[in-house]
Amino acid sequence: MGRWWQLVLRLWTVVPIWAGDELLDVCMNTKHHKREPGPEDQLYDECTPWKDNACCTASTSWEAHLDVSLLYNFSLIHCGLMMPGCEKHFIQAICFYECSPNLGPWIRKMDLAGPGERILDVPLCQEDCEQWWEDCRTSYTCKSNWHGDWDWSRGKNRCPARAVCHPFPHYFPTPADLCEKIWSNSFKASPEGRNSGRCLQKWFEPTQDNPNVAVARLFASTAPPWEVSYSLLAFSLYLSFLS
Amino acid sequence: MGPQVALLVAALAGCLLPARSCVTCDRRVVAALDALEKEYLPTHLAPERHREVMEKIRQTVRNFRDLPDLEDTFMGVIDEATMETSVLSFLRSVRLIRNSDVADDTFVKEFNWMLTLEKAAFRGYVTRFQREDFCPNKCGTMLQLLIWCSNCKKQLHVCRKSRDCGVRQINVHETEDLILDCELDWHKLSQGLTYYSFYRVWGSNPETLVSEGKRPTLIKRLVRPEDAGNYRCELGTERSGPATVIHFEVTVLPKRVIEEIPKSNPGTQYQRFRSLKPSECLNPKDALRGFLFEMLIWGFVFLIIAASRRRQGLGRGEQVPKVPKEKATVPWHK
Repeated sequence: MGRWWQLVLRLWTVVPIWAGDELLDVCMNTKHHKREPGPEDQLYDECTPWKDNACCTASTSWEAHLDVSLLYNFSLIHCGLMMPGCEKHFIQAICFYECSPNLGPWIRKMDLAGPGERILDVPLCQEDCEQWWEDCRTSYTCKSNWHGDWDWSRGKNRCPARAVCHPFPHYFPTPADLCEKIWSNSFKASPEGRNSGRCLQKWFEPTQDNPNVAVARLFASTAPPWEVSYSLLAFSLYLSFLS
Repeated sequence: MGPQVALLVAALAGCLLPARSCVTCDRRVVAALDALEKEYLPTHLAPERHREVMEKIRQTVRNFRDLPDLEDTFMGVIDEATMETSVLSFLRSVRLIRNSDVADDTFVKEFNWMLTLEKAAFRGYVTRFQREDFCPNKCGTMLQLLIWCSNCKKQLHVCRKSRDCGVRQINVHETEDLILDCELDWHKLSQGLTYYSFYRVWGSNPETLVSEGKRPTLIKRLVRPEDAGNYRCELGTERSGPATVIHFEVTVLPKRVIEEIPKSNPGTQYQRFRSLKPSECLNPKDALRGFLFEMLIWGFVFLIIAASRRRQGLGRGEQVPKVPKEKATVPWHK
């Protein structure tokens, strides 16, 4: 019976690592992502940090920079032109979303309405959320959740009837509110800092190596998939019952 | 708790502070309104009405940027030229009212009417700016200096239209000059540009840099057939990707030859250009030889004629007549 326990214990350690590798170096299944990540030498401007290994094509990287993004027909100008410092953060966030091959542990299947997959609770480092919020304080918006409820009657999104344009802090009182609410919890405001290795950066210098690779590996190995861990738990209970 | 309270206060302050209007970003407008309050009103309006009237004036001027019925939604930005036009128009109108010396209710009515007209004028300036002067580039990336009306900040907006500006076919004749022009009309209006670079594009080999500098044209003199091929020009920016990329496909045509045609009317000169076919090109040596040969034949003909005339003359026992001068009727033709 002791040998059975040893076997189960070994399974507990092996399975997470084996399952973890599936979550590394993957691309989401959506309209614009590539099937698999790979090198791209023609990425545009803010998307260049991911040139060594990217889930986005060169044309997607260009479209991520447009005021009215061709990717989703979404207009950043819905309450007037954004200040350049604020717009830059949005472009970086879109590049991160489209190009990063390190979002595996946070990819979730969407239900039938909408693209195949989405990300949920990707932990962004504290500095990322704070700088984003700070640089957008003087820009305007009319909603706190940008994912739904727009007026699409004229092709690109306009503020719905009763939504008044106010500066960002009106709809996002704190940096955490900005990171989390804006794309319905795709991001999470992590309390960790950039050098902790426990949070993801939405952008990094092109000359640097991608710091998110190690972070994704850490999160992938400590989070075994639910189905496998439940079945292992049931099996080990069964064994303990037998002995 | 502390930082959260501070953030809440900042958020509330963001709501309560009135957003600046476009024209009030200009010091001259602020000064004009202050002068109106401090210099004109004391002598033209009852004191108890000053505060209320000035508050209404300032509120109306702030509302210049509320343009809900604009065809294209107001983007909240204008350029320096539009700002100057709007400010000068406003200052002129204020000056006119002050010069007219109106007081009390007449002043209030006329000033409000003037503000209505100025707001309509401002609406016109903004419409024209958004339609024609905002991001005037049709391709590539332009950096435009704009003023944000909400906080009066002047910053560079990146106008991205397309990643490259197309391909141009260039035909040039051998030994003539190849001119590649990389300049577009909006380049002079853009900020943040660096320099023009011209590259020769090979098939699979990497590009070679041909020239780099402030001049927007590449001139290659005395073109040869091996200069045909693909070229690329690029105008760089300080911080973003390239402002303009244009590809050129250059074809080198055979050499042009200039033909002179004799003048038909005095005062007109007509030169016919055409490319020569190889068979038409005469060797100069052959031409000279042909000419000499013809001269020789005509010389013989004259000798024979002269000799036969002499024999006829001698037969009649007359003096040897002089050889009659040949009139210049011999047709010379090639």
